[in-house]
Amino acid sequence: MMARKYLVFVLALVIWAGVFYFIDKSIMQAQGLPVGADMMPI
Amino acid sequence: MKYFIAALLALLAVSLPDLVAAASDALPPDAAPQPSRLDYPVIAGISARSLAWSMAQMHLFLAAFVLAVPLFSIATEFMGVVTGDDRFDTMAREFMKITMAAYSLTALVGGGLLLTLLVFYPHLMGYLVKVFRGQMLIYALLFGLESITLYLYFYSWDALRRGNRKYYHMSIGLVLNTVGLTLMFVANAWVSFMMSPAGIAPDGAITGTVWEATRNPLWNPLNLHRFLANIAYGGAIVGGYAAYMFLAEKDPVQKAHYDWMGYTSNFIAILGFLPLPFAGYWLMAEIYAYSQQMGITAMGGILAWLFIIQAVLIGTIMLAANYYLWSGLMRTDRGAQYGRYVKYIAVVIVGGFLVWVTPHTLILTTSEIQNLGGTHHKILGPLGIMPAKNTAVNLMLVFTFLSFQMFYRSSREPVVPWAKSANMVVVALYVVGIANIIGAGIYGYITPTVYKVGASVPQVVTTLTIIIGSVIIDVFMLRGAKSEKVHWGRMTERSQYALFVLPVAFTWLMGLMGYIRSSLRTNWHVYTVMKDNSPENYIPTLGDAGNTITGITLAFMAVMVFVFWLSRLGQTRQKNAEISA
Amino acid sequence: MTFLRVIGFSLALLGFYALYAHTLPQVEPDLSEPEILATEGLDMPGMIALGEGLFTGKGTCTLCHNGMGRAPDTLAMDLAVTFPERLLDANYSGVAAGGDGAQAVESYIRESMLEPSAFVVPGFGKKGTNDAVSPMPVVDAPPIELAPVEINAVIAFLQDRAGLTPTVALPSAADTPEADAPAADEGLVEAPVTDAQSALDKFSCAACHDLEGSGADLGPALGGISMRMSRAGLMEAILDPNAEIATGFDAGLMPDTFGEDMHASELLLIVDYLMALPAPRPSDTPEDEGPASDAIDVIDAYGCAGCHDLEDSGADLGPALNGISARMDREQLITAITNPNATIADGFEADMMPDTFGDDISDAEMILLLDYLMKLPE
Repeated sequence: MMARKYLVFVLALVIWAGVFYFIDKSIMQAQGLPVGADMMPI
Repeated sequence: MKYFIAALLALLAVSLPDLVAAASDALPPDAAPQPSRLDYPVIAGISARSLAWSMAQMHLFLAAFVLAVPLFSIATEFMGVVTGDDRFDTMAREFMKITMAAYSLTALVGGGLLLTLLVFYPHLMGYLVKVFRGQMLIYALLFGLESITLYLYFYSWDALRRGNRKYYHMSIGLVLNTVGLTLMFVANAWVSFMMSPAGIAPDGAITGTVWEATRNPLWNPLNLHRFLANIAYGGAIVGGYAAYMFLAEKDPVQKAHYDWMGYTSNFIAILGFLPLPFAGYWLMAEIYAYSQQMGITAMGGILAWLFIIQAVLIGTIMLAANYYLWSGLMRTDRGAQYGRYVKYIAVVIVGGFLVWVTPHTLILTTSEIQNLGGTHHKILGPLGIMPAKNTAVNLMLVFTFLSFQMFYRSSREPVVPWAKSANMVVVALYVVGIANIIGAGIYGYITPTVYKVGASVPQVVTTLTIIIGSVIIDVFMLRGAKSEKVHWGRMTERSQYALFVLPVAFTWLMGLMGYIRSSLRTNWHVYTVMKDNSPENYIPTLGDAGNTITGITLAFMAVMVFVFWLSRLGQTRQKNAEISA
Repeated sequence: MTFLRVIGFSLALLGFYALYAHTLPQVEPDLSEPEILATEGLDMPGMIALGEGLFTGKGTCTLCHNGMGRAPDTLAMDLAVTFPERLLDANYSGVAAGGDGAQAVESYIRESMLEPSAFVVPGFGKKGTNDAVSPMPVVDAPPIELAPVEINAVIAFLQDRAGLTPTVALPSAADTPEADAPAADEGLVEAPVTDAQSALDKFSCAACHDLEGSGADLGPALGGISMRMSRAGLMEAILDPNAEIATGFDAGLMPDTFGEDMHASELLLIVDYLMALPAPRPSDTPEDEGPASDAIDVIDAYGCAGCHDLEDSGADLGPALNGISARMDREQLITAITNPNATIADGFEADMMPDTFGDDISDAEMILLLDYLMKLPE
């Protein structure tokens, strides 16, 4: 039972990370700023 | 319904005053007056600026309070109807009771402000009247309407308390709030016009309609900022009242009532406060877009140090509000299990506070610069720049929300079978969200300015996502939850002092922000159009401003003590009458 | 009781905020009347120096034209390359499009200052306008309000930086703006002196700088200055003395008000004279002295007599020190030395006396100095 709790946690981590990546990406794109591999201008 | 029509007509009249008072054709397109120093009246050695400043600020304190309270009073009233809990209704009425005594003082000080401006700054006022024409008359009319609806709303409370009549009462409240907000928006138009004039030629000659002058670039950002700040401010003041009553009352039932009122007020204050940094960000961005000069005056020039004080004030507000929430955990028996997390939250809030007070560009004497080896401190310097501050403020907001969420959950035990998993999803949301905020902050460090500003947007969105996401999950998770008994009144006396920090800090903070906003115009009455040639056209030093703001705050506190005393006067007499009878 | 405790608590918090406001640096407001430049007789190097001062000062250009990405970093780029590029840019269709040479560059710069949107460098337009509208304010409009002669000076400065010979017109008598003179009694400026020696005397240069044997060492020696500085650099050093400080000297000592107090003709006289000064022979350099041991040493070390009438120095930039004890007590004198701008004697100007003596004069030196001054007869 405990195991399921942590399984959900890890799964949620991955999903939220995806969600935030998507949010960040679309916001940066909307501002006309580079995304992904181009993000580091230096 | 007819109230709505009246309010709509009033709104229309405000936006298109030429329909009501068409006088624009008669006016030749004169340039703005340029009074010389000798044109400013000197009367009995009175400092015109200090007087106008004090009057304006005092009027603003009272008006903010008087406009804000009906807003959350009607919200509380509505809560009472929805939940059927009579306590909400009683509290909403008590909110209004405090407001009534403050209302006439607002008008009085407003009249004093108008008189001061007319006497000491006749040219400016003459010009503003020309620009806004009939709108000023409509403002006076609206003020009358505000008085009528306010008195109607308060005195009909008991007559229209039950059944369908309640809806009539709430309609009056709605009109009251519509009129109140319109009043504020109109006044904001005049103030923002002075900062970012529109609808006029470069020499000040009036070319556009009143609506063009009203809808100047800084009008809406200012409207939003003041609207939110008013709610936070009103909540803080009412919270101070409740805390005082809590300390003064001996009766446990009354104590419980005022504890609950204090909690609700604190909640309202935080609710208005959380989005305020974002509204401030928008206002600042619009100031930069309108005039880079003005933006740089605010953030990098003489006024830069002010934002350090602002950070200290906001920091104390955050700490006090959080401390109050943590103390509230002991109202329930379940609350104790959350107690162990408090210290970690405290560390983040204090840490964020320290980052926030770290100044960026230090104005130093030459010898200090030599000692430091540059205008930026080697170690502290990096903490002073934008990405660090944005990261700090977003983390502080997230953790303040966490404090609130813990308190909210402390009185509810979830019954749904998937509660543990849902909780894990919320924890994951916090973990990823916080990582994202920090990540965007680090990204901002290593990139040029354009990217820094760009990277602050995802931070804000992340904060909002965390808040909205966990509220949604909590709503479903706590559906039908076993509610734990909340022992209202089971609070330490010390925790109540946190509720006094809020109104004092808020009042001072508002005074400070008023000083900043006015100073942005530097030596202009109307920026780039009408020069201020009065003897006091310079930006006062921080210490001088601090003295004035403290003086005004003291005066306001004295007024508030009087107002609270007045609102209790009725009850006191009744008790004496009972004893003598 | 509760009431008093609550009030006490609130007052304490309020007091803390008020005190905190006083602990931060107090930026004193600039109360001086707007600077009225007497530019008549300024030559081209003078214009270039004036332009540089405007670019970083009144013109507020460097607020945005810096490395922060708000606007092209004009001072960092090689203008000799940039200007020709801009003139030939396919998207540029202004007055100087396709032109070439110093005259075209002048037109280009003038246009960019007066009509910033005529050509927007890609990436620097107002947000959302696709680089069609420039965020730059028009420089002759409020709040910047550069006068035509000042715009010319900035153009001269930028042309010079691009390695071109400035083509702008030199200022004439008509260019000196009329004083609006709102406060009539303050606008009076002394008539300019006409020879270099009187100009040097008028501003007491030799009181702090070693100049033809004065031996003062508060500032760098002026002999042979032409080997260390260009003409424009020297002008800049006089007008904005704290911009660069020679090694071994303190910032904040030299008055930074010469830009307002000197007539352009006086500045030119001084600069021409100094540029022609030969380097001193090694034996002229006074040997380094130890810490001052008597009052006269102290007075010499800090150059008091250079500005104040002391014994027979006859200087009149500051109030006479002879008989000072009749006008001030010891405490007041200490304040007047350590914080000279706190009170200004009638007929004298603020900000002339360095305000760093509080840090620089040791306690022992201060006692010597005070004992001496308080005994000085009329």
